Amino acid sequence: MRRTRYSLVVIALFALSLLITLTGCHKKVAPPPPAPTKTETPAPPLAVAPAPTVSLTVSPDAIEAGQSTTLSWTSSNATNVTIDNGVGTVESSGKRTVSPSASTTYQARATGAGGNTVAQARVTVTAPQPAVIPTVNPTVSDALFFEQNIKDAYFDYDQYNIRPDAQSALQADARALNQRPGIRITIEGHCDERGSEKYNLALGDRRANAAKDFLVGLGISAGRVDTVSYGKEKNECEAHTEECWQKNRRAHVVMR
Amino acid sequence: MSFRKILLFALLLSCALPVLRTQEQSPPTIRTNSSDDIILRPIPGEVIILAAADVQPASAEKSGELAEAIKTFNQVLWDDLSFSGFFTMAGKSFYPPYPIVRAEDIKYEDWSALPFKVTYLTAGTLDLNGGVLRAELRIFDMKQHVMSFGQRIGGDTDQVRAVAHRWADEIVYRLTAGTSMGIARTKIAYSSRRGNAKEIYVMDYDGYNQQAFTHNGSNNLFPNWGAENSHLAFVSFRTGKPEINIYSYKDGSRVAFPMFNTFASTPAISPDGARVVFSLRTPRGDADLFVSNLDGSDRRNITNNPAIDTSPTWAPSGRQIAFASDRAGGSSQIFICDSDGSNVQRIMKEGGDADSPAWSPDGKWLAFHWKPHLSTNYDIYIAEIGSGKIRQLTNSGGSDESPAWSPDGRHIAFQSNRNGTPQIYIMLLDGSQLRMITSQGSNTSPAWGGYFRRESDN
Repeated sequence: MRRTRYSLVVIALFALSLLITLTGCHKKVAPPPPAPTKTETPAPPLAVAPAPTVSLTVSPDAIEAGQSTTLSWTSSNATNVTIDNGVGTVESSGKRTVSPSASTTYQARATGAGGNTVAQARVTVTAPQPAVIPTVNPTVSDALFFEQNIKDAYFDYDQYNIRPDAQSALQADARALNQRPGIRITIEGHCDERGSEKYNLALGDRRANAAKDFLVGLGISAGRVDTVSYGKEKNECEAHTEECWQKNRRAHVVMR
Repeated sequence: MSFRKILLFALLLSCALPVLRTQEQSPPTIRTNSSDDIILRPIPGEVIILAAADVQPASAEKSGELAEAIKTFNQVLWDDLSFSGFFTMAGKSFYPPYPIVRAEDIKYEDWSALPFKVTYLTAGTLDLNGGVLRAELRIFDMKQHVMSFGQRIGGDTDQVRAVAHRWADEIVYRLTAGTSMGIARTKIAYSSRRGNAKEIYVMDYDGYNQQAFTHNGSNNLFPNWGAENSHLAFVSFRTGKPEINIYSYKDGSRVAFPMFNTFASTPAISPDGARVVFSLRTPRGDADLFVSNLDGSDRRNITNNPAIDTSPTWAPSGRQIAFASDRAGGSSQIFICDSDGSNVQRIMKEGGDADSPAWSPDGKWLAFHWKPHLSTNYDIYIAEIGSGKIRQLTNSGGSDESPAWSPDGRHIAFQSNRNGTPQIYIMLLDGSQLRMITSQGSNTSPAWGGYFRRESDN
């Protein structure tokens, strides 16, 4: 299972890089300029000039303030194309990165012998998300702070890899531990009742270690983190259901 | 022979049949070959029909004083002989209705008149003198009409069971020509949860005389006997982490074995008593198997694999080790390797989840618990080394785990929660003579000790 998942990720990454490479090549290989004509033949006079067309898109169409987005446009039968909101006169088709500080509707105007045409695209700008920083109340004891901020990491059956929800939990733990450098922890590895006692004791150790390694990777000093496996000897939940098994498959963080 | 006698004989034979039958129960997904080529329980060439006449008080005036001891002795002897699996026990209701105190009390013509031919008869007396119990015990050859052998056994008044066990072992040893030395005096170590702690306990093989070996109030797991019952090794959380503990079983002293303060588990002492193999966390973060001397010196990583390696068991030769590992991906599987870690082989190609291998005393079989599919319940299986032939030994609906071989290789002890909390069970390999031998608390991880030295051989 683990190997399959890794393989899928590898294949996906490869496909992505291939796509990027191909797209990049496509951009570089611009259409060759038209071969210079040897004899200038005057254009035949046009009875009715065709009306210009223009289209404008913005991607992404929603950003946070400070981020940027890309305007893309194409036009035809236009001698002049302009985009408002400070972009100015542009080539007949192209892209431009913009970084508006508030929601903006961009308008592209194409002017040609046949008249004017406009197209619009709107980008919504929102205020940036404030970083989630737990408010530090210096009057809160370490024990209470620990209880309020430290989360357990949960595992799949017979697995010890740190899945996404466990990563979030351990990231929160690391932030909290950074705020209280005096707190030292023990990570207890636990397993559900289904495996056998001997194997589960080793599996619990693997889980506790995986959680510790993750915290150390986030900058928590290894010396602050002890581990112990209880296998299935000290389970939180006794029912024979998946809900209960999931509660038991955990790296349980306790304060030393 | 009257019809009634034929019927009785048929009934008696049907009691003998389980001795010859081998286990056929297997889920359809598991390939098992026919039972013909595997002898799970070797028996002597002839079926021995054994009669066990009640022992008698040595003198009539002590019958009241001895009544309780005699009742106990007769029950223990009967249970031991039945459980040995060697004999067809002749039901006591058939015996001539008079007590046998001396050899002269046996009237062979009465025994010949029974609807079946008793091969051997055990009989004897108990006496009590100055607080000392004395047993005089005899085996009679009912074909030759002679006494085959006898034994005088003494003991304290609280040793009635021990005296009966010793006589049972003597009978098994003599009548099977040494096929088995008798397991009636063997011990079983196990982990017993009573209250919050799991302590190591040791009991008689039949569940009597349960005694705590550890008293540290923490979790103590996975006991393992050293050669000739010299040591008990186990995992203890008494210092907070799972650590290897090795104690002398003779004087209770602790062998100085290193504390690793990480993760150490599932010790198994080598057949020569000099080395121990155990599971230990490596700097890589996984558990590998290490072999060291009994004091922890000369420690070597023999598996060196990034997977979990645990639950080792020695081959009786000491040249191979079986263990559980998740290196094949997914769940735990059983592997064997040489004692230096080379020549790793998986013992069966079927998947599922297996653990707790135990090598049979004759070296030919591995017992383990296994669930071929994801479920909460394990069953006990044995696989033949080399061929990989698999036999299912239990199928109870509960989870049957942690098999342990009796020293004569004819019996298996295991834990099962088939009746609720996990308890220790013993049975013959074919599933017959099943007995639940614990009931107090919850009891797991049985380890069957070796034979007791035969004093009569000295």
